[in-house]
Amino acid sequence: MALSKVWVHAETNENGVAPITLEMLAKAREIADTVEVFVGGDGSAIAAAVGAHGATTVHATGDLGGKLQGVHVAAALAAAIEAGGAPDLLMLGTTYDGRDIAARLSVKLDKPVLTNNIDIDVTDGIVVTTPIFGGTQLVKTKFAAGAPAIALFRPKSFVAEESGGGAAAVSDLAVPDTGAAGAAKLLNRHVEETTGPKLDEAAVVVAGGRASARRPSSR
Amino acid sequence: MNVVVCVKQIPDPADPGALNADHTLKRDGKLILDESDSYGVEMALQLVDKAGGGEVTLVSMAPNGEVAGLRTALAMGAAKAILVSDDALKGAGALDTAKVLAAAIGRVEGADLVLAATESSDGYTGTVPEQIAAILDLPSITFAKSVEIADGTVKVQRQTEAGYDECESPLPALVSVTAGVVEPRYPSFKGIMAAKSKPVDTLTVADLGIDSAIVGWAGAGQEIVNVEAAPEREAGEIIEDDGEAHVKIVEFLDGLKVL
Repeated sequence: MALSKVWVHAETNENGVAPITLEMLAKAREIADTVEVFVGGDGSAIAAAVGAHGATTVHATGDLGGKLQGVHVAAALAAAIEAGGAPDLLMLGTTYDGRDIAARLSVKLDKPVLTNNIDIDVTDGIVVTTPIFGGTQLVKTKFAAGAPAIALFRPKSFVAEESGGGAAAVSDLAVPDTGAAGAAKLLNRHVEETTGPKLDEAAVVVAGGRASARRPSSR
Repeated sequence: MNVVVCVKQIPDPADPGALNADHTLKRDGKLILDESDSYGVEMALQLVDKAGGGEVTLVSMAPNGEVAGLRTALAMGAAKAILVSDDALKGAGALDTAKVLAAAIGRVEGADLVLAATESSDGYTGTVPEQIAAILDLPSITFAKSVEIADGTVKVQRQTEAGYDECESPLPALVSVTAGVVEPRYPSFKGIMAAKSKPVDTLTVADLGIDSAIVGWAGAGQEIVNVEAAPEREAGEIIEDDGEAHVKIVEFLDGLKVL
């Protein structure tokens, strides 16, 4: 059973679209006929990048200014879904903003949200795989509350791969009035300088130490 | 300044975790205060102290009327606690938990701020605080690594992938705090003794006016279809350092074409 439509959350950073988004797009292409992206920000800035990875449309709120992502993007998504544009599944990263958006949306739609997943299968319903107990056991959980399912995935769960598509079309995602719940504001962003690659994005990790011999499965 | 802190009582992480036959986590032994919640409790105590008045109320959901973890937080200095304990909550997911905790928080009069950890150590969904805020229609700032209150506003440094964001919100609001936001105090002997007589209001789902058909297994909206051992990860290559290990590592990386 392939899904009809999947929406993937586009996380952005100073380098453009974050790797987690491109990884989820690769999986979304595999399980759905139509793959679209939503972003709390400028859609045109990422349309080419996500289009090259298979997204046909970017649903974009436009610049949120000093508003926080969670409450406002979730409110916009809920309004779009209630207006009849519901996908079968929303995929987000297990990230700071991904969790905030998914949490607010789950309440708006009264649907469960499953986080920390590393895989998804749609052969018999939507079933996600979640590691527990330090990754020693895997739990497979089926969504049973109807569409849309809301699932969050860990970085590096899938391998990003370009599909050669053209730039995605940009569609407005209107943000409704969020009332008192939307009163928190973003005042300033601080980027802390780091050097070298991020460990969770590295394909190969070279480590050393006396404990290595006792953990032959570590790498 | 009245602060509500959501705290979870969990199986001791030092013991190996185990599942019941219905795939729920075994919680039938003694439960302890989740260490990640001790930061929220400490933060709340410091904020109330700085404000010069008010109190800290704990809110928790646990099976079997368990209060051992709550007593630890009461010994740190919290004034009272609300515990929701009901067999109907077995199998509850994150959204059910948020509905129950939000209803319990709603019973605390005059709460200026709700604090929670970013995620629990045994469930780690990382969504419950934001779900509580959504249910209570409160503004929220998550993943706080610093919290200050001034003139009816909470100012927060929110952790991000790249660094941190300076955020602020009018009160009342919900803030989730990261480990390390403050250094939790150890309960004093006097605090431990005082905690024994502090009030713990134990409630059921019905007491909160929640229909038991929408929480627990009945309302989770998800079905665990399988639990299995994870496949062994492919063994890494271990190189004994005989003085030439660096050469072999360079060769290995060169073979991957990452140099």
